[in-house]
Amino acid sequence: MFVALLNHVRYALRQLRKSPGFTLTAVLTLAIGIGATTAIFSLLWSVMLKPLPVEHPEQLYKIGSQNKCCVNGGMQSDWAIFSDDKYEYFRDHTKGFRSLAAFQAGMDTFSVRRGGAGEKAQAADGNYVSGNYFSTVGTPILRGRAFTMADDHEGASPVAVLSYRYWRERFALDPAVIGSTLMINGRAVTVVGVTPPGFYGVSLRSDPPDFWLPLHQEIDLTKNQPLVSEPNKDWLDLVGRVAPGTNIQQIDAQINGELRQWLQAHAATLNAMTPGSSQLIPQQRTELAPAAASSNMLGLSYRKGLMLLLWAALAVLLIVCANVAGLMLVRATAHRQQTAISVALGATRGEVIRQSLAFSVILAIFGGVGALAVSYAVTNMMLALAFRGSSRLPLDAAPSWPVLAFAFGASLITGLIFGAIPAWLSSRAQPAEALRGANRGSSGDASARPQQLLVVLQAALSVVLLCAAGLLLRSLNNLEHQNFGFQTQGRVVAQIDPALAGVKYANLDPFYRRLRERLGRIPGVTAASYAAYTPMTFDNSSTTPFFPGRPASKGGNADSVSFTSVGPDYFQAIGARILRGRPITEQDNNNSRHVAVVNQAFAKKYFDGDAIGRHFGIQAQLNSQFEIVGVTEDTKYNNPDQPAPPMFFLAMDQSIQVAPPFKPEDAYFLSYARNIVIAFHGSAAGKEREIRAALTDVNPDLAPQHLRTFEDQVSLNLNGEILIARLTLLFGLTALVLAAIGLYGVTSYSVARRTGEIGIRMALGANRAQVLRTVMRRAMAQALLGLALGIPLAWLAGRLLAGRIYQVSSFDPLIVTVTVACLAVSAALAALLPARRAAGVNPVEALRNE
Amino acid sequence: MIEPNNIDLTSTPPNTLPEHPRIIELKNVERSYREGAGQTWVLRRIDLTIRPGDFLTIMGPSGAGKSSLLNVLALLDDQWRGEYWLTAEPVHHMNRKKRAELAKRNIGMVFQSYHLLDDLTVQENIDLPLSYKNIPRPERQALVADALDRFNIVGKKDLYPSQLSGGQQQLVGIARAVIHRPALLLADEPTGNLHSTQAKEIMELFRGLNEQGTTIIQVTHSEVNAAYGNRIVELRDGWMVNDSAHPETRRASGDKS
Ligand SMILES: Nc1ncnc2c1ncn2[C@@H]1O[C@H](COP(=O)(O)OP(=O)(O)OP(=O)(O)O)[C@@H](O)[C@H]1O
Ligand SMILES: [Mg+2]
Repeated sequence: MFVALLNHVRYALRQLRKSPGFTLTAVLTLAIGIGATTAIFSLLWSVMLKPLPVEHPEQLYKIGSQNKCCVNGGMQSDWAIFSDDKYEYFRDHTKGFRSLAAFQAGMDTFSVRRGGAGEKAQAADGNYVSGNYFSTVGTPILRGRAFTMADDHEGASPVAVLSYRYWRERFALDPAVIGSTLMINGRAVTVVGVTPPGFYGVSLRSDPPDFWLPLHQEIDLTKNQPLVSEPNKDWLDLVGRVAPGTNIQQIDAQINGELRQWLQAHAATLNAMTPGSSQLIPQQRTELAPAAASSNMLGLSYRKGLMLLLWAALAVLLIVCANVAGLMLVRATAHRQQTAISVALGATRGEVIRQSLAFSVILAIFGGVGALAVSYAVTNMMLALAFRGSSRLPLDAAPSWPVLAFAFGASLITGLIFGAIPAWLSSRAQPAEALRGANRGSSGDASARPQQLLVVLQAALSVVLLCAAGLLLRSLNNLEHQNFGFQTQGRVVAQIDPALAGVKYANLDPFYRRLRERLGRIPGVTAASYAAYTPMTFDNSSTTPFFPGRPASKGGNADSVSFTSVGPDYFQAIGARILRGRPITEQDNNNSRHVAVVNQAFAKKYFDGDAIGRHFGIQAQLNSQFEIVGVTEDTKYNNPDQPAPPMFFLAMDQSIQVAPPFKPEDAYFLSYARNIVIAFHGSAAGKEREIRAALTDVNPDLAPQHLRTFEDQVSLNLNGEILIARLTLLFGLTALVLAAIGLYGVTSYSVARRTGEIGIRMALGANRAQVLRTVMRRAMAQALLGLALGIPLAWLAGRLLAGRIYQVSSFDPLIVTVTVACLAVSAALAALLPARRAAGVNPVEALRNE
Repeated sequence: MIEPNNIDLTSTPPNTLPEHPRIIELKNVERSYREGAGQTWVLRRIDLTIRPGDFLTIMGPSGAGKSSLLNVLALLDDQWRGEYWLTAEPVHHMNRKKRAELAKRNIGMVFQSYHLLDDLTVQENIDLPLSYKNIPRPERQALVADALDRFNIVGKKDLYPSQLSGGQQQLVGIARAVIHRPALLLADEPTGNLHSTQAKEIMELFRGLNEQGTTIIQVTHSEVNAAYGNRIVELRDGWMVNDSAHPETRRASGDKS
């Protein structure tokens, strides 16, 4: 058995060596198809399937199946983030967990300076975790030690654990860093350990933490109000380890009970924050979910797109199969005589099939090896496209074992698929007929029919892919060139952190004045302003509005509206129009009444459009704190593919009043600008240097974390769409080229086989133009059949895409027309060469060889 | 000369031009193949005049150039030198397209291995030459029906070539060759693959066609077949060494050296 297999393999290798042209074409084609599929799989693997980089990841469960960020107050309905108080309540009462750890759902930016050395501070992202975090998630520590419970309480000496990447990139793997002191937000923190390479925490995100800090150190380290001592601020993800075989449902029920118990115990405070919220307690619930899936930020945002691309890649692979099967058929026909001889000499049908399959599988494996290179290149390209703007991606394109296994498996299956057809056909060879040489050249095309079918299939699939690519590209174009409700041209947006630069709350007024004045002096500036956050910067704050004389809303999500606080000239700086009333100006400060600008959606939802002069608040007790002085157009701040939701804008220079249980400090964050935006006359290109200089002038530590043109900033929001549209186009074009090659192959082959017939026809009076036309007609008929099959399929694919495309109908006549034209032109080009060859047949020669 | 009016089987006369006493005139026709650095000659200084209504037989040993000469006459071959008048038209001055037009109008061909198209029925095979002319469909159908009738193969019209005997296939081949009523019928060993009885039938058919006015040029190795014709030329190593119409043209094969 094994010897027989070895013989098959050896024979197949010899055959491959004998026809290098065939081998090269087939291997390259296979490499493209398998490579594309492997690349998608590789990303799918590392984003969605790869187990967490911890021990026994299957024993880790997260409380809450959703991903929420970053700080929440009030009811969540479906709970996913929690306060430290709730965490400790769960930790101390839930029996089912071996241990339960907490980690900050978001991340904080810190200023980090190496202690002692006169080094400049740099920004880095830290993540607060409970003392049992590392032992619960089960990661070994590469150097030093993990946190213990002793590190995690107020007054403990401050410690940090660094990520391997941060240790490498910031400290060049210097072992002396472990045990040394870093100045983090001005406090001395001892580095006690480094995590192993590849550990990114429990939640997979595009920018994992640089280091971890014990939860209770937040009290000393934060520049804002510490969250850890707030029982009603939810900001922690909870992850627990269970013993194998634990009944999860039981823990789930227990957790849900505890959640409601805790809420009940705090009903009075909850009602004070949002009246009526204690009535909602019975509906509050949460869910215990496997940690890998439920804390996978990347998986959640890329799953649908990757699945779509996987389908596209599989279509390419199918085309490749059809293509190579076509090549194999040509080869099989050429070898028909040989096969017939071996059948005549007693080879069984099974043996013929096995030999043929061995041949195709070996071919496919060669293709698979080439595919690894293709896959590596495509994966790199995808990572660059998908995660543009992220600097610490915990993914890389280097093939891992599962990816290698996938490539191998894909090759095997591909080989079996494209090998089976010719094998089956050749095993049906009638030895007598083949030996008699019955298939004289004048025979028709019956033997090429399977190949023609394969070409039709390829054409159809490439139509589907091209139409899909067309839809996605148009959708992307619509997204990019839509009216966002602000202007992207000639504008720069920078991310800053005045708190990190040491600006105290009391000093914000003079700081902003200086900032406005200095930015205004940059040549060419037409407006410069700042805001808590600006459009398309992946930031959001939301709250529930209250109105005088109206019943308080229930605090559900339906009434949550987004808001930001903005400086003077803000609307001019982002280029958003004020439709009624006035914008926020320098006069809106602490000496004047509190004002707000609302967007059209807000005015429409709450005031039927007539909002000027009306009042609202963000707490029930202060429900007329803000007077609406202006209405601005609907500007998209998040989700480019969705209409702008209701939103309001407060004046950053006005301190907000708060009523208990909140403290004035709770509103401080609204006074810290995280973005500045500058509008220029003409282009904003090349202004970066001047902007940086201006910021350093204002405050030497005010180096911007990002500085981008508004166009770039918007396009970062479309990373996923750009990736999918471009890759689908790439796949579609590959498919088209492969289909054209397939058509070329089958046409050439049939011309070669029909040379005799062509000679006869010429001898009987056919002229060259007629011969050319006949060949072209046959080839175009296949393309036409492909269209007939492909267009309905494309329509179907369009329906499936409907949810992904923005303002494009799922069947767009223009796209179909362009696709038809592309296919027609490439089919015509593919057929023209063999057709010309047919027209050039020398009848004397053709008839002689009969 | 045979008067076209005497033809009983056809309603239209073949495209002969009675006022021209010669249907074919070759002057000093030569054909060679490039072979490596040199050339091999397959036809040498052929002078040949054929009158309308002739039934000419070309004979000679294998490799003598018989098929080559026929291909030149059929206008399938372009690579010869010399002068060739077909129905008084100077072929040597024509371009490829003109030649093809001329051949289409005047020439029918019959092959040793029939060269029927396997995936076309008998009827469709016969129709083939007509399909390359601008003839309206009903007229074509009438012509094909007429030919099927004339050659007694009406019952076979829907069969495929593989379902016919060799003799029947050749019958179809001939029907196809004369469907458009060419003045000139060229046949390269038309009976080479047939039994003598089948061969005789075919030759009788040729005789009939010739009697109705079709000029026929056949290549054969068979003296019996040659006897159906009225004139024999003999080729040897590309030279025309014998012409029964002009016994004086006999050349010594030593001439060429
Ligand atoms: N394409 C070609 N290239 C080179 N030489 C050729 C080619 N075609 C024919 N010849 C040569 O021309 C010579 C004449 O060939 P031709 O076919 O005319 O002979 P023939 O008299 O018809 O022989 P047969 O009775 O065997 O059919 C031969 O020597 C042959 O080798
Ligand atoms: Mg010959």
